Amino acid sequence: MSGRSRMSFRVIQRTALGAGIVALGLALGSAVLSISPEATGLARQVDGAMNVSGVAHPLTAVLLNFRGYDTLLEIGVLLVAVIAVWSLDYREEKRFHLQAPIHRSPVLRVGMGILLPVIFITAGYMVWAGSYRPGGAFQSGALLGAAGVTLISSGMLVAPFARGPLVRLFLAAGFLMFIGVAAGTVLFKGRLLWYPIEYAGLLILAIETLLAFSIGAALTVLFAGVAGFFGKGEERP
Amino acid sequence: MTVMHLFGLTGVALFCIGLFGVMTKPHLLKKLLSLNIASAGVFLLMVALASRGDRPDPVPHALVLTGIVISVSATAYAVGLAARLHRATGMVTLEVKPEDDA
Amino acid sequence: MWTGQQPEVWQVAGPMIAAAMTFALGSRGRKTLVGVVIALMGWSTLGTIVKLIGEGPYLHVIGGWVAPLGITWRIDGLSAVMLVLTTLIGAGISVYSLGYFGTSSREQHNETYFWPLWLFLWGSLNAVFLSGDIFNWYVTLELSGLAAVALITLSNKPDALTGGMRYLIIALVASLFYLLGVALLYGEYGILDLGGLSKAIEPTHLTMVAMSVMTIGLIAKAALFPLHFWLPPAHSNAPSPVSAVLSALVVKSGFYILLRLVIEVWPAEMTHALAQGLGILGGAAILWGSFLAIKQQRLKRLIAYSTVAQLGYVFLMFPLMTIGWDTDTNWTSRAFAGGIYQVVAHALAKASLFLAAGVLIHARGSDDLEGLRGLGEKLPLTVTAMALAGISLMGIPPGAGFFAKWMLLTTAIYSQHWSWAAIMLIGGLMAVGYLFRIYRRLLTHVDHGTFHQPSRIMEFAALGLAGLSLLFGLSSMPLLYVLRIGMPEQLTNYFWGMM
Repeated sequence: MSGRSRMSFRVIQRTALGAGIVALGLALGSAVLSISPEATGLARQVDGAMNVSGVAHPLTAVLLNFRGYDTLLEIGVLLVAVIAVWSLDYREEKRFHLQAPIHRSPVLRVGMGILLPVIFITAGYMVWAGSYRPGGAFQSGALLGAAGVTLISSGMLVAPFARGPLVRLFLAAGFLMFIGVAAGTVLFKGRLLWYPIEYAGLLILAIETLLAFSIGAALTVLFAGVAGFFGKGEERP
Repeated sequence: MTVMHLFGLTGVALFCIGLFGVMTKPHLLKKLLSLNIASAGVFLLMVALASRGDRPDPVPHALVLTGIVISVSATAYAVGLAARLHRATGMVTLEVKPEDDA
Repeated sequence: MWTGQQPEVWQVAGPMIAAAMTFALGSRGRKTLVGVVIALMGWSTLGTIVKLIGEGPYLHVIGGWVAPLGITWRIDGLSAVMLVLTTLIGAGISVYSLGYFGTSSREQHNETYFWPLWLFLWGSLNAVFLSGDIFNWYVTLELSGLAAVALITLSNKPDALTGGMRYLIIALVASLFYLLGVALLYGEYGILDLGGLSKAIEPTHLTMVAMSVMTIGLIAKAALFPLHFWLPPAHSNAPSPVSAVLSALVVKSGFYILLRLVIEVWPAEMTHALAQGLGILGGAAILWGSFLAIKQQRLKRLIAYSTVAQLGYVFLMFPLMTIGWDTDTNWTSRAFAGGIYQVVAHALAKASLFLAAGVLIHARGSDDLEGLRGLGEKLPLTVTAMALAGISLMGIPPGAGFFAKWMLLTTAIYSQHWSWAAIMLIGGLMAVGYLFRIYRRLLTHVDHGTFHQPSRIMEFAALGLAGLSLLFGLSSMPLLYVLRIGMPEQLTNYFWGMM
């Protein structure tokens, strides 16, 4: 095929694809327009069960209690992502080194010294607040993750032992605790994740606290792994 | 048409734009960015649906939070994979080899 | 024992706890852990089936929150058959993998990450088969998809990385299509639970659109023609135990959700057109997949294209099921039994074929078809496994594939749908064609090239699964007896007569 005809083939292909997607968009759009503006969701059912959920905020109740199983699997997804990123190993490649730059500046060092305690306190508050207002393990974990990312890129958290047994245990702890509680509730209450009502609030808080740490650690490790901050097998050329 | 419909339609539009990007952009990072635009569109639709009634419906909010964490995890691995692929092959695209005659 | 009452819980909890533990502990105690998981899964599956037979279909209400508020697991004949399948194949793959990895630092690295990812994948597949909630399916699909891609890229070889990347993008786009449908359904009906949704659903425009986008997403996950193009590079470049689980089980999870939705949720007046469309694509998959399998020069690529073709048979069950839905449900239930049996037969045979291929590749150090010459004399157990698995795939009695294809074929012939019958017969001949390309070379007596003795445990695992594919063919009664429980009457009429 000549270059010119390949070009026009590409244009035709793109146009056909664009037309297909526009048709899809119109179908989806008309379906969205047909949705009634009256509420049809589960808000009423959630309200009805709030008094036995162990927490006061409906979002936390849905995430950790009513649909806690989704959240359990989602923590599994996060853990799988960490394992998956770690399974991408660079030791055989000496070409194309992509070492992310580390900024060792005194300003950053002092700034982090002031910021870190604040971040930790805010993260702790977030977990606590989650039971009665917006907040919870994910928001808290995101804060901790941001702290971890800053620490790594300022060279203050050295990554060589980033894959040690302790770190791995820490990463798996949130998931293990959550699924451990799930298995425990099967033994005592006969259903997966059926919390005894009197302990529901406490169990949710305990799960959220550990989850916050594991999520923060997972986000940090994902960042470090993707950006290539590893001690092992990472000699500069 | 209400505000919910407007946001819902915007979500659909974002999904379509992202889908077009995934299918036409050869660069892997552009594909991943497009994918994230598309998922933002789906999440926007879900949040729009939650806004009906006198108070927001917490269930779609929880679903979107779950979806976001999944999307973050998948994106992190995908970016890592793209970087690994670049190191192994020097390519930032998925070139079609003659063997892939599907 | 308290746990005896909820044996199904360990289908998901068992492998996932083990996955997180083996990630945290590394190689310490790995063999024991794998042994415990296999035993636990065997016990749990057996317990679930005993409970199912004793009590009939039942729900596991997670967290005690009754639908629509909470998430519910459904345990009935269909999910039980899938659990039996994951248990048998999961055990086979786990045993095989204990002998698969070598001692080099590269191989050790692969093994370290293989176990947690594989155990997560096992648990998430069971989670797909147990779930009865359309959003929870999205989460389980993402979990299994991510673990599957990571397993493909484990070897870090360029081909594996490329194949994995393409699969990852397709899988993520497919999940988004599915999630979009879920969002639309929630917007209209406010329900995510399968049971509630099937009562509330109406044949509206929105249902039609949701059904279409969810079907597109699911057939991409199930690698149905023409969305199969990602499968051969992904499945053929993965480590062999991973290829086995991908072809045997992972593609079936998308199919399973599609089937559940067709049987239980979509309004009957819409499923006819959908079923015809799926059947046409299935027929095309049989012909196109078999044709490309015949053309391949590499062993695992040939087997991967055979998966594309064999999945086509599975999808033929949809149009055949609709033939007599309102008039003569004999056809419907025959097609249903045939389709599910094809899932079982293909899963066992294909897992065995990929595992055996792994043994051959290990022995020769390459997966070039020509390099297989002379291996038949050296590895008789593996060649036997390949032959037995092939019997099932080609649809020769007494393989399980024979029963599956017989049920589908007779439905097509008696109901005078000649084109489906012709495609199935041609596909069968083509399967003989591509499989004999392997056998011919294995059974040649010229010997040349290198030979490494593979671990015996690998050979036995491949042979065990091949033997099972024969065993399920010798008697279809036990599996059909379980499958019948709790399924709609139209789908089971025929086997009532057989029992």
